[in-house]
Formats: sequence, structure tokens, C-alpha cells
Amino acid sequence: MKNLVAFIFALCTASALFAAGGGGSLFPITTQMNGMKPTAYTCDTFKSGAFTGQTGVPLTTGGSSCPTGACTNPGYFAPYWETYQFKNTLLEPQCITINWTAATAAFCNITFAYTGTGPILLWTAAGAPCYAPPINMGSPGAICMGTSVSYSLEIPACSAFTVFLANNNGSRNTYNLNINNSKGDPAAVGCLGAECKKLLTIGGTPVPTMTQWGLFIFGLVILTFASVAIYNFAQRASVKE
Amino acid sequence: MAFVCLILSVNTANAQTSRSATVSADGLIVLDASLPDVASEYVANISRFNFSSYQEASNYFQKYVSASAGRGMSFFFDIPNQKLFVYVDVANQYMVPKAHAKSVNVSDINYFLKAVHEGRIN
Repeated sequence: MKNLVAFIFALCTASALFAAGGGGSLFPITTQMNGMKPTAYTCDTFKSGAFTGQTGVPLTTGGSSCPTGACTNPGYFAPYWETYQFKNTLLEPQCITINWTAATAAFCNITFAYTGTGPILLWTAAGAPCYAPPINMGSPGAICMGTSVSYSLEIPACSAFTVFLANNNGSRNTYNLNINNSKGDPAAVGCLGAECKKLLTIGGTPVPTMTQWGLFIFGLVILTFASVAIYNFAQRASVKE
Repeated sequence: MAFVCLILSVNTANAQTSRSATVSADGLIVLDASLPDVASEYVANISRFNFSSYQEASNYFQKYVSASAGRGMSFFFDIPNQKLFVYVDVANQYMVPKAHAKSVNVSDINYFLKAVHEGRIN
């Protein structure tokens, strides 16, 4: 009995850890947009910097949902930027929703995400670059983030992706980053070196319990007795006649 | 007389900068984009909602007020005349990123208003 309880406890703990991305959740990641790596982001792939001059980065034109957004409206200023790199730790594609929340809206902050860990594409006088397939790209569109903004992006199985946050001008804000799956639960994401796992779904066709089997067999026995009794009554009645 | 002239001149000045806006039945605010440059004031007729108080109108449009607070856009409701005034701080607005090689235009701000209306930004 003790072994059974210990097994169930271990199963529950493992599933909770797995849902959080394995080995504990990274979220929420709180950033003050000051170039310092947030404490909760324990990966070693935090980057930040400043684009000088009138340099821009691509954004999608519309709020993106899985699998990808369409990038046709690039070229926005980003005097301060920071990026976070993650990995989809499932051995299957995962639709993630990136959500930023802040205490108050302050001036203009922008965000987008793309699959892979390639460098941020910059606007050049010769053209307006976009992240093209096979890279998926998503953003809330060409708008400044308010107190809350979210967008979705599909990440291929066991693949890396990058989340970009930047400040256009003026005061920066303190933001919380959360990444959820399509059910609204914490997505299975981790640092770039995280191990990928197969998602096991416990359940399927329900198996009757012993009690249910017992009731079923008991019902059959009662039916058998009833049939025999009816048959006997019928026989007796025919003999009397 | 000087006061009357002053009032008239102010009204005339306002008339020059004020443009129209529309509010759809479900509350989407759309600024007049016939001219690409952003004006400082837009006026919309909100009689279809039949608001009886400033508070009622303010509550209805609260999502716009919240999303644009401190970012260069403000809203005023003229209940007796059933009008909505949208004021834009053209020089210091932060609803949309400032695009490279171009100024923010009315379409950009309408995009922002639509995103707020759809709940994508709040």
C-alpha cells in the first residue's frame, strides 16, 4: 500500500514538473528593461543592447496566432532591446502564447518572437528584412504594448525560439513575461540545453473498476435467477392446465 | 467685443484642427483617415448610444482610456451634445512605434484603436 501511494505521489510530482518545462518553471520572468538579466531567467542566453540611430526591427502587421504571423511592416526604432532564448521541450510542435504584463503603460515598448536563435534583423536603407519561412514569426502587430499584450506562435518539436522586447523611446517599464500553451497552462519550454520529452497523455478509454465489475456480474446473476423463476412459473402453470 | 472676437478666433482655430471620427455600433472608434497626417482633435457622434451621463460614457469607452493613459491620447465626452472628443498629442504620442523614415499616420492610430477594441492590447 505504501509503495502504491509513493508511486502515485512520484507520478503527480513528475507530471507537474514536466508541465512546467522540466526541472521547475522559469516564469514569470520580471524585467526592468535595464540590461540586467532577470533573476527568474536562469538560462545563460540573455542578451541586451541598444540600437543606435534610426535603426529598426521587423514587426508583423497583425496580431499573430499559430502557426505564424505575416511580416510586412518592418522598420521601427529600438534604442533599447533584450532577447530571451527558449526551447520547446516537447517532441511535438507546440502552440505557445507569449504574454507581457506591466504595472502601467509607459510610452512605447514593442515585442515579437521568432523560431530559431538567429540574430535580430535590422532595417537597412536597401530594404526591409523579415523573418521568412522556415522561420515562424509572431507579434501583436505594429503597436506599442499596453499594460498587457499577448500573441501566439507555433514552435516546431524540440526547437529553439527567441522572444524580443524593446523600448521605442522615453521611460521603460517593468514587465512580467509568461509563456503558456494553447490550454492556458504553463508551456513546456526550457533553456536551450533542456532535454526534449514525449508528452504522455494518461487516460483514454475508461476501464471499469472492480466494484463496477462486481455490480455488473451481480446484475447478470439476478437476471439469470429471474429468467429461471419465470420459466418455472410458466411450466407450473402449463402443468396445472 | 474683444472677448467675442477672442471666442470666435478660438472656435475658428479649433474648427481648423478638428476632424471627424466614427464609432461603430459595437464601440470601435475610427478616426478620419482621409488625410494621412494626424490631427490633434477628432469628434465623433455618439448619439446612437444615448448616454445619459459622463460616467456612463466613460465606462463604455474605458478600455480606450486605460490603454492610452499617459501615452499621448485622451478622451472627452460632451453628453449634452452626444459627442466624443479624441485628443491626440501629435508630437508626443506613444500608441504606435515611430516608424523608420516616416511619421505615424492616422492609419497607424486606427490600427491601435482596433487592437484595443479587439482586446489584443489593454
